[in-house]
Amino acid sequence: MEPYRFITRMAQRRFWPTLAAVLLVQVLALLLLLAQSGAPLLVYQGF
Amino acid sequence: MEITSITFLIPVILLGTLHPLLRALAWRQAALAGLNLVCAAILLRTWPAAAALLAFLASGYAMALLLRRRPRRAYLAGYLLLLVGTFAYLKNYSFLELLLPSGLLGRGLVWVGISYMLFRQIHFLVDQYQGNDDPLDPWTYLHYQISIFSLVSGPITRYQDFHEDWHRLEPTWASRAELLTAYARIWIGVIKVLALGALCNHLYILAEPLWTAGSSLTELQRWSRAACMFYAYPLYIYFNFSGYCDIVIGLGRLYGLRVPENFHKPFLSRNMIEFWTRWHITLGAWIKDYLYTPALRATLTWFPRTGANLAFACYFLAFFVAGVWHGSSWNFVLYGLLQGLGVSAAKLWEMFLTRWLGREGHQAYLASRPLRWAATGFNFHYFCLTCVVFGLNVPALRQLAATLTARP
Repeated sequence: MEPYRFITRMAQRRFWPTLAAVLLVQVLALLLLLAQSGAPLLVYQGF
Repeated sequence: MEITSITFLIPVILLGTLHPLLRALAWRQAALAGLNLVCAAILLRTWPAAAALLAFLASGYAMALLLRRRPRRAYLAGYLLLLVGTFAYLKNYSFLELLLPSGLLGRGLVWVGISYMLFRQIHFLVDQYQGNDDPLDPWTYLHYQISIFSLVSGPITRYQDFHEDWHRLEPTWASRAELLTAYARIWIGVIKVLALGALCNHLYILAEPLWTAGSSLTELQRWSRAACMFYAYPLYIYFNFSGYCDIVIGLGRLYGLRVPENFHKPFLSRNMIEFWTRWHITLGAWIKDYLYTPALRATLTWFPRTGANLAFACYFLAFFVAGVWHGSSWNFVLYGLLQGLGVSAAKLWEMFLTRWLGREGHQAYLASRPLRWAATGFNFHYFCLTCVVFGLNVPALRQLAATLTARP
C-alpha cells in the first residue's frame, strides 16, 4: 500500500510537468514554513 | 527542534539529497548515524534524560543477548514487567495516585518518543525470545531506536525491516521518479501540518469557550461551536499526524530508509476494527501482534470450548491498553475504554450477523454499497466522539457537558 504511488507513475510518464507541480507545492510549503511563527507542536509528539 | 521547521527541514533535505554521493555503505551509515546522534542530543536536552535513555537502551540490548542464549519466558516476562512499570512511573500516570503514596509518585522524567521506544523495545525483545535470527549488533540496534525518522512520533518500525534497510541504504538517485515522489511527500506533509492541520486547529479553538468557565454564548453559538469542535479536532489530528508521517517517510527515502506507512484513508473504514488497520497502522499492527493475538491465544488455552466467543473481550483489552498508552491523565483511560468498546462491539456485531444471516448473507451484507456508506458514516461519528475525550481532560469535559446542557 503506497498512497502516493500516483506521483511516481506520473513522474515516470511525464517527468517535467510532474517536476513543475512538485516545485509549485514546494514553493507553497516553503512560504508556509517562513510565515509561521513558532512551529505548531505535533499532536503525537511526546506520547 | 521541530520536524516542521525550516531550520530542521532544509539542512536535512540538502544532506539527504547529497547522501547518495557517498559511494561506500559505511560512509552513508556514518553520515546518517551522525544526523541521528546530533538530533537525539538536541531533543534529549538534559543529562538525566540522556542517562535514562542509555540505561533503557543498554538493558534492552543486554536482555536481547540473554534471550538469544537462553530463551526463557521468565526472563522476558520479568524484564517486560520492570520496563512497563518503570515507564508508567516515569510518565506519572494519574491512576498511580490510587496505588502509591504521593511521595513515591514519578517526577515525569521522560524524553521525546519514549512511548514509541517502549513499543519498539517490546517488539524487539519478544521477537528475540521467539527465535528471530536477524544478525544483532549494538550499532544497528542503537540507530533502530534513535533514528530521527521514527524517534519523535513513530511510526513503530520493525527491527527486521530497519536492519535490512540500514545494511543497504540504497541511494534514491537510482530513479528520478522515486526521488521526485520523496520530495513531493515531504512538501505535501508540510502543507498538511501547517495549512490544513492549522486550519482545523483554528476551528477547534473557536469552541474553547465551551470548556472554559464563564461562557456567555447563545444556544445557537454553543451548538454550532460544538459541531465545529466535533468535526474539526479529528481532522486536525489526522492532518497533523499523517502530515508528519509524510515528511518522515519522504525524508527517510532520501537516505535510503523505508519508513512504514501509517495512514490509508482511515475515515473510509466501516468499523473500528477496520479503522485501526488504516489509522496509525503501525500501532494497530503492534497491538494485534503483541496484545490481541497473545491474549486470544491465552484465552483459547484457558477456555478451549468458549475461547473463540471471547475474542471480543481480547479486542477490548488490547485497545483499552492502547488507549491508555496515549497519555497519563484520566481522559486517556476513558479514551481507551471507548476504543475497546468500539472494536469489541464491531466484533460482536460481526459474530451476530454471521449467525443471523449465515455466511452468504453476511457476504451480501458486506457487499451492499448503501450499507457500507451507512456503516462508514456511523464509524466516523463514533471516532469523532472518542476524539472529544482524547482532546480534553476530565475537568474540561465536565465543563463542556455543563455548558451544553445548561438552560438559556
